[in-house]
Amino acid sequence: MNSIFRYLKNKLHVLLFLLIEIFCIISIVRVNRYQSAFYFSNTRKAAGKMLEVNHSIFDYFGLYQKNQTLSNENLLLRKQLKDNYVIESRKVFTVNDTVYKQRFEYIPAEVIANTINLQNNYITINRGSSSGIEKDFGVFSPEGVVGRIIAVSENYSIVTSVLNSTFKLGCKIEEMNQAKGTIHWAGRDPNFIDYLEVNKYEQIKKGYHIVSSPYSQYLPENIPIGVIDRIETKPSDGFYTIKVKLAVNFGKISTVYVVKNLFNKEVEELAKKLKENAR
Amino acid sequence: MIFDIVKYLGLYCLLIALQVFVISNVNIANPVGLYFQPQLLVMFLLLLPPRMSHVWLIIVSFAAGLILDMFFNSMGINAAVCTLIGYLRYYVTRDIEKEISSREEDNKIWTSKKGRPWKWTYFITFILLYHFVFVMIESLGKNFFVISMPAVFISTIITFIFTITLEDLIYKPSKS
Repeated sequence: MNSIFRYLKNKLHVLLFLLIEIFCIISIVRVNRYQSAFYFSNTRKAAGKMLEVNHSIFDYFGLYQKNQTLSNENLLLRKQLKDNYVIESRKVFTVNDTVYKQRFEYIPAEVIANTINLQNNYITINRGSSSGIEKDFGVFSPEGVVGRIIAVSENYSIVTSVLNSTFKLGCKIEEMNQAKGTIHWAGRDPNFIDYLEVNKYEQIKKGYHIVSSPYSQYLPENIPIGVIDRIETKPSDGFYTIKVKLAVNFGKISTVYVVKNLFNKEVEELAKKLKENAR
Repeated sequence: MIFDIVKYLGLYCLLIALQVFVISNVNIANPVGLYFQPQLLVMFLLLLPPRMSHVWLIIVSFAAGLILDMFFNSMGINAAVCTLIGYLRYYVTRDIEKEISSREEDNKIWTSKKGRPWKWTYFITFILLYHFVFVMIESLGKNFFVISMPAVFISTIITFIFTITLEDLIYKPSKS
């Protein structure tokens, strides 16, 4: 023990020098904007690469589950194929192809980092601006809604997860076919989410499916969110207290789709014009 | 001892005042667009007494840099460079006390007692190192050959001339 103290005493100047330099480097990075931007952009790049390597290793072990999810999704899509349907009406319609215009485009991506145990959880995906992703694009997985893009670099994007206290999304009750309320995570259980602003005079039941609303600008309609698990009413409150079991298991999320709303800019410009006119 | 502390504090205040009120406000007409920023504080670090212990030298250098950082809102940059200079300077000047203590030339500052070539090499090396590290941290190597290196050399030359002149003015040998 004495020899350790003696050694430390002899090397006190080196220790002091290193401590001061570390303190200075932390101060430089925290206070000076240019150095801070340089540090964070480079460490993010390095961390992104490391996470990608890590993901590529661990992704291999999750292939079985991923195959299961994809085959389930394939099954669902097969069911929707035209061949599965019989024409009941004998009437003939002439449909102009230009009636339908594509509204959403999907960009597949892999999750390379994900948290579920924080108050504000974020997901990192391996697609960025080079794949056409922009801020505020919606994200969903084959199981359901995942979140919204909050930051984009060239090759990576950060997604505000549904399990984030800042995330809110308008919803629809599938069985009632009515857009109602919003979801918001209270930050406790990663399997459940609060379903807010549903008037207690609505006739809703346990087991109803909550899906994305048709009025969302960043997600298509009918993307599953979850199933109503508990409904409570409080005399003092005009709204139900509803717990929804999330459709997505955020602990095992791996493949996601980023949604690009092709009309979003048009809608935004319109809203901007409206604001300008209101002034 | 107390006289020495007051003397060095005075020098420090003078250099800080010159840096803050003069150097940072001088806008020399610069037709070639060369950037330079002489850091006069390095003179204070180089003139600190050679008998100071290594630990104290590091602490004083760090404190000196940190105070300058507060004036320029560059938290940590000057402190990091000053600490490095203080740390390295010890290895150059630790044996000098033994060599010069035998000579009876007390009216001279210790840097002058080993002769001009040593003094000039000592000053130029550390002033160059200070500006190189300072500019590297500030610019992070951006435009290294076009802006950073010319800035280092010009600042070094100006600081060296200033250091030599001020040292001669302050520590002028008394004519007895």
